[in-house]
Amino acid sequence: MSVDPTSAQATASDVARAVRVKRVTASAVIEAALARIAARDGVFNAFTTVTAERARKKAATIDETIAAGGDPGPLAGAPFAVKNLFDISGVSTLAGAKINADLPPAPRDATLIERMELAGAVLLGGLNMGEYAYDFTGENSHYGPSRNPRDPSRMTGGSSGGSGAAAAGGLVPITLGSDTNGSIRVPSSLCGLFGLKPTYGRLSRARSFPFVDSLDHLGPLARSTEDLALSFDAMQGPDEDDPVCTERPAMPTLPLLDQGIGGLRIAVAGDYFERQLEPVAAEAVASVAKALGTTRKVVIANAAAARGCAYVITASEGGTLHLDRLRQRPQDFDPDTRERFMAGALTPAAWYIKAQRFRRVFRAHTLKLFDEVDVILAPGTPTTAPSLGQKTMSIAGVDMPVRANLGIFTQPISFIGLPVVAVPIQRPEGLPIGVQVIARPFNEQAALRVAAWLEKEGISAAPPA
Amino acid sequence: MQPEDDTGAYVDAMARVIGLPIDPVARDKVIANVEVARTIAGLALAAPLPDATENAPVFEP
Repeated sequence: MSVDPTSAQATASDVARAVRVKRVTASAVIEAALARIAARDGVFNAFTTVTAERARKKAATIDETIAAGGDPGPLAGAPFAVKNLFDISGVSTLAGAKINADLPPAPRDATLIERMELAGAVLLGGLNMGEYAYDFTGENSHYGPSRNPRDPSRMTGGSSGGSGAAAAGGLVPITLGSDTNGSIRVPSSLCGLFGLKPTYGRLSRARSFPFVDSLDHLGPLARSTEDLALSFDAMQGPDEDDPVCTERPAMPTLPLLDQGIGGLRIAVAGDYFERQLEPVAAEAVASVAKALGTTRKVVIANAAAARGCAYVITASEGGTLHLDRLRQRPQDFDPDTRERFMAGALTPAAWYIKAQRFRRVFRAHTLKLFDEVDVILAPGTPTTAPSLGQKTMSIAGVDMPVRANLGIFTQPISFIGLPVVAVPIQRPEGLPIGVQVIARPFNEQAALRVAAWLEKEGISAAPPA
Repeated sequence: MQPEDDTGAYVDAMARVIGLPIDPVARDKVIANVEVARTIAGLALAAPLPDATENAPVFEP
């Protein structure tokens, strides 16, 4: 039985299929999504801007294209929304900051929005986030916290908090986020969503507000692996507006998504990734490994040091980026980021350069593992969603700050730009938690195939809350 | 001096050098955050690297 394409359950793929065969109009899909946002976002606080008129116009254009016998694109009529660090034409790019509300409206959409809309998707607005993306919680003193649709008293995780809330809450099937140290994978884990942090440089970052140039990635969050692949494929390709964006041609992942796991060598990350986590996180990894039939373990050596270097690079580049704003408007920063940015701006060059040099060594050692395995499994977060406002959490019997430690397992991986699909494990008795499916650079395909197989086998799923 | 005192002196001096005013109320939190970075990165900062391990201006994963 096919899903109602105007319902919260519909994936972007469901919508596009229905729109393309004229079972529903794009306009009806968009009106239904706008109604869901109006009805439910008062609780989730996911959207900071709803671009309703723009969306209605775009939907009407798609319906006209179909009526005229044209091709509306593979994402025809699929609603999506973006973390508010993406430029949206006519809207000030907030990046979660009160200070940025004074910026003039962006003159042009971010490249990834342009590519999604070229494929027929319809932008519905900008989404809440932690200030300037220096965040793992989804909290924000200016715009309020995004709330976890699985339990609104809990954090979404961040910094792409609104991206997690909007997708998990069934407001839109696909959201775009950014991930510097885990900001797609942490909300995917805490909100129970599929998330794709592609290889560093794979997707253009043009016309998005930066955080840490050395580590910034953009990517999708969704409720199905098909939607991840569909949107990823629509967004791939070189872009001269982002000097980091790869010149490799796009490599479509959707055609091979259902190829299964045959031929893939899969292992679990040991050592660092088995310590400092709650049983719920370890059980999630174990359940995925068991389903995939692997007992193999590999050690990503020096992961703790890698995390430390990612921390230093983040602090230094982030603090330096915001130095003028820290000088001129310190009182307008979120109290949870201000002193961290200030400390980052003071980072000794010796630390920063050592961290960058260490990155090369860590990359070389880690890539050798991929001579023996294709995919490595690791926890997404050390525990499930903490409560809103919670400052410390107990992990393996040790109290530690929430804000700095939700990303301990994501940070060493993005440090060297490896592609990761976060797969959600739903727990009927409690909150969801994610597992990272990690592959070699530019092999998003392998991670997506594993995620799709886990979804097909019923191990992983992301129904709307 | 204790390491924390060293970090405090460094923060005060470096903030003046780069022209970053730090409110006295915020000073302790700034110092604490520099200490966190120093602690978390300690392992890597202490590890010797060969001279030929150069930084990567354009990082290729």
